[in-house]
Amino acid sequence: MKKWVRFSVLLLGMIFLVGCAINAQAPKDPFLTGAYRSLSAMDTTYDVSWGGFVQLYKDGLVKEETFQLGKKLANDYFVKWTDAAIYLKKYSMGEVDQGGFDLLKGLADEALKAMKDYLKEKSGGVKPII
Amino acid sequence: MDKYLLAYLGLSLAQILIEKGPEAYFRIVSALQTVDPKMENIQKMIDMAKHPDSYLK
Repeated sequence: MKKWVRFSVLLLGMIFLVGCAINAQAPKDPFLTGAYRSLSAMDTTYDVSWGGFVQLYKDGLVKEETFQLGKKLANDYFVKWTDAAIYLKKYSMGEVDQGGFDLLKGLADEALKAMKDYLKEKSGGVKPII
Repeated sequence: MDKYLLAYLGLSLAQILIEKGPEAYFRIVSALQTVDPKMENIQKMIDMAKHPDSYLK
């Protein structure tokens, strides 16, 4: 019972802290802030998904052929994500407008979904968290 | 921000912290806290992103 109380307090504390941080300052450029946050979230999703799959491969639980196809999908995602991130960097420097970002991010989103679906299927149906 | 969305976010972050460890948790929180990122923030994010091959080392 004590564990649940401590866990609840920790959880509420985190919600409070995150809430304070998010509401502390309104962005001057909501597009830039939103785009940066979504690319960061995508990178974390890729990191935990691909990192976990590589660990399974290192443990000998994934066949070479299966791993190589997963790596191809991960490479495809990584190239597209990097393109979107470089475009956003150029936007932050005022070199390009918002227009091209959605297209590049859309391609990266599709590639990330393809990679996650494949890894989920080949790792026994473990659902990625995010 | 809507309080239900905030609660959902908090629960998601707690799940990340418990299941994936503090590194993934702090990366997400750091991104959420950044407002109007500068070019340097974005370059750092690009530099920190790991190529698929680097996970094998």
